[in-house]
Amino acid sequence: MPRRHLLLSLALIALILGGGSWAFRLWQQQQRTALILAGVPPVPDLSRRSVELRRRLEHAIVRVETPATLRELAELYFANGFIAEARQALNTLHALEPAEARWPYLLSDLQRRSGDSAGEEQLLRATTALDSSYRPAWIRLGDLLVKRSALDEARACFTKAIALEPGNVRAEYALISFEARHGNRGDPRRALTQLAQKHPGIKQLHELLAELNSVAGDAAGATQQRHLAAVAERELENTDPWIDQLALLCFDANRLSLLAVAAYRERRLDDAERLLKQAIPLDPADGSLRDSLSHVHELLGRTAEARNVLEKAVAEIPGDPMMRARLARLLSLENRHDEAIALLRDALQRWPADAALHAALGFSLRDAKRNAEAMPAFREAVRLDPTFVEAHYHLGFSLLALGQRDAARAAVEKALAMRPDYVEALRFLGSLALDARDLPAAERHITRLRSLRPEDPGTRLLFAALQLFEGAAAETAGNPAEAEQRYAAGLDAAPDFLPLLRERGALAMRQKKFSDAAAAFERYVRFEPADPGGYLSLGKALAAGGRADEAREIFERGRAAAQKAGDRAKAEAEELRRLLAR
Amino acid sequence: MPTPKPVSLLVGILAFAALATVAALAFLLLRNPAVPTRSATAANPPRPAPLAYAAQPLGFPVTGNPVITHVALADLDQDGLLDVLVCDAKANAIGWIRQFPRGVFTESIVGDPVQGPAHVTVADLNQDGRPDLLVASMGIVLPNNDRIGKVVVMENLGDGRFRNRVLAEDIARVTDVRPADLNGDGRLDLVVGQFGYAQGEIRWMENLGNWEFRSHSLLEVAGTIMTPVADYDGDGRPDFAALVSQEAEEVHLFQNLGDGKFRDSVAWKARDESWSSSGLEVADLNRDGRPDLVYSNGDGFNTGFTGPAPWHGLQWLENLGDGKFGYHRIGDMPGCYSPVCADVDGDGDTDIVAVSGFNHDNDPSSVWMTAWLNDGRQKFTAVPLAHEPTRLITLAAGDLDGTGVPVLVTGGFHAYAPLTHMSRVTLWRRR
Repeated sequence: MPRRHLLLSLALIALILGGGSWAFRLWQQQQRTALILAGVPPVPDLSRRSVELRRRLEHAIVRVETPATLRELAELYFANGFIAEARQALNTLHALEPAEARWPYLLSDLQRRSGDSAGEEQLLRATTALDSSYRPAWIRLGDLLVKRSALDEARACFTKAIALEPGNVRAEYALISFEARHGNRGDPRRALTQLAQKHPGIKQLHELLAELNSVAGDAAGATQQRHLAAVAERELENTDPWIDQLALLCFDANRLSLLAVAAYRERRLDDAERLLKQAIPLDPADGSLRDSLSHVHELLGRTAEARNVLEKAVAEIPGDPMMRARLARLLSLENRHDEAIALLRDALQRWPADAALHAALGFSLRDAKRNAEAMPAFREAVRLDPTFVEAHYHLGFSLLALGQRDAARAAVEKALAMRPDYVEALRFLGSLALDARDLPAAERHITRLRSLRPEDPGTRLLFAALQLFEGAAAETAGNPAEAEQRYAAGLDAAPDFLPLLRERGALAMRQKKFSDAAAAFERYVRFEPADPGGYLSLGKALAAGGRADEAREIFERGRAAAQKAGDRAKAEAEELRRLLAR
Repeated sequence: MPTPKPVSLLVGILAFAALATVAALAFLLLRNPAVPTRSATAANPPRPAPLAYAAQPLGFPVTGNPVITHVALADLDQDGLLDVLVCDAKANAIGWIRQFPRGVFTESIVGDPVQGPAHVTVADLNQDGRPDLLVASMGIVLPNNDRIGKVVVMENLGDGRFRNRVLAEDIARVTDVRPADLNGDGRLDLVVGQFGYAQGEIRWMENLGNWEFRSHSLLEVAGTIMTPVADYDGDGRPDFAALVSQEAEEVHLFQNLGDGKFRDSVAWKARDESWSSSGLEVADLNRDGRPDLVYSNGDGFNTGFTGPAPWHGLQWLENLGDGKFGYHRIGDMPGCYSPVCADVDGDGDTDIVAVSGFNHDNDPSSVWMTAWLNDGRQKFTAVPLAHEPTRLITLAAGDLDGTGVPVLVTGGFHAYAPLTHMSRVTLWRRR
């Protein structure tokens, strides 16, 4: 073959091969582009969406050419609650990047929102097969399996979640609650108690403990845990980084506020703050967002920032009276009472029929110790809104400060009638009844209070005081045995309640139970070492019981205490001197 | 003609192949790939509805965010024209949108304020010939466990004047009060549903005359929404049903045994505690002479206000007699509330219209009112009636115009963001 022909043939072959391979690559690219574009859903109606979201979506749609740009679009749709659109884009991404676990996971969340448990489970299985290290996926899969009674598999999921993040409270709770309800591995209460100690104040942990205690017949333990659950303000953490991080792409104020509420309940205050700050520019007229942000700042101990948020809200949302009420409350907390009161009086000029504003004025006046003015403000609040329970209670508080006991009682009783579990009202009425020696009423309120807040120190003291008065009444009525029981019950609740210790000792002396008397006075002296009267009583009890040497030592200590007390203990000092001279 | 040499043939073939490759390349490059377009419009244009209504705002204008919990139709002033009664939980008042003359509506407030009114019914409780208003007062409509409920009667004094009488107070939040002579003594007693929150109750209040009532507790259960009265067992005595939607999601039937005794049974119970029951209406849907129950589930409170749930919708409980009911799903409807029965298409059978209280707020294609047309055999076809206003939780139907064609009245419940496309009271006339 001539050399020229050979070269020509080789050149043509190279051209064919090169062109063919280029054409193949081009074809492949076109197929891929076609697939990517098939993942771009028709644009939904965005007329009710924020301008920013519209802008972002329009920008993202135009740019879709590569998986990276489709990802951006899918995440925007997902984060802003467009279920069908997000599903279409994510399905395409899943086809384009079959090794990426995030896509089936996000798709599973969409199935969950649509109520498709079977589809959700399938996608969660795909997720865990692709990436077995993502803890939330195992927990969600476990929860789903429990629902359809695949218990062994569910247990394995929860166990895997714990193995991935040892110490994660959500994972540990998932397994413990599973074992509690479906397992047969003994009593899970110990593990749950340890978890509750490690993560104090989480509502769900105490609720489950209460349930388990109740089933195990431990009524007292169940009650105690129910109380702890009632006062717990923190919810079990439910973080899910793959989904949570998409909140940055959310441009829906309502959605962001819901996420912020969840973060707040889980006491992820930094997250709540970030979400609220993101939401406010999207809906600047929504006062509740500003109020929540201010509250979060307050919880974080940044009162000045909290106030700044509300000051800005008052300026920017002039038509929302509650912004003024909230700002006034903060000003009062900072002891800027005059500013708070002026702000509220000004607001009431504009909204004279707003019960919450009148009550806010009442609070500010009361904080400023101006009860005479606070009382009519609260009265007006309850006139305008008779169901305003707190206003009734605080009206009572102000009335009491003005010496109007009967009216105060009536106001707080009204609050209590509307809210039978109102702890502060029960405490108020219990104290008032004790002061008035209305023992049946005191017993009624304090018993209820104990059933609600048995561990509260204030409750314990009130109960002890009630026992003191009941015991004294019983003794007067000639029933020392009941008096003894009452004092013992009171001291059981409040071992350091000194009047009761003294009375308990005195009763024992009268009953000639000198060792009991000595025991009571010994405790008294331990709690009140500066009171010479305590040494005097203890010494007498010891002497009466034939323990003269110990009595003498106690009298000596009493004399020392009396010397320190000076004129306040002149009578005791004289008696001690006389006893020691014997 | 000379025969081509083999080498020339090879070169020719290669040249042809090269040309073919170039042509294929050109084709690939120049053809318009069959890929979806990035269209700016999504859905198909909506088909014209066979049934269409025109909206007309009624009564006071929208100021702030209206929170209307109930609307009812009644001829309160007995002038022969139906009026509209409104429970306004924002104003804490009962509004009376009086129709006089025909087609002219004027709203005024009736009686003294009532906190958190949830339901209003007309009945001549003191038998003086003037219809009084029975009002269920929740105190606060949003979740709350305080005992701030009241049973209030607005006594009709004539000449448009009403006096509030509180028949019960400091009780779990009251959601429904219905009149019926339950003990057969000739006086109207009351059936009272109390949602409460953690604690609720169902009671009946015996009318002793002279505005004295004695309460009889029937069941302590949280979450009662509605208590429609009818003779469900056909024994001539009024019974009542109770829709309970809190920890349990169930419909109770209280059969009246006479002498103030009732037998409580569960007519239907949802398996899922997040079923979200929202409304219960009495109607003889299959025209067998027995009152059936039309029942909606669509309460958005269960889903944390994140939107409607996929299981929301409408069903009817067929009264099979002897206190037994058969369940029939009618269809899915996001945030379904307040079903009312009326022959809206004029074909002689009973259709259902329901509203949506919780839907996809940001989606303009969301349907907030739907008619379910009955084919006469209790097979229903959904017809969307309204894409706005949003958040409707109460609906009433009646011959307001005196034409025999049912007119619809809705109330807007805008207690939550987003506060857009709001309405207070809207009258819907057939186009």
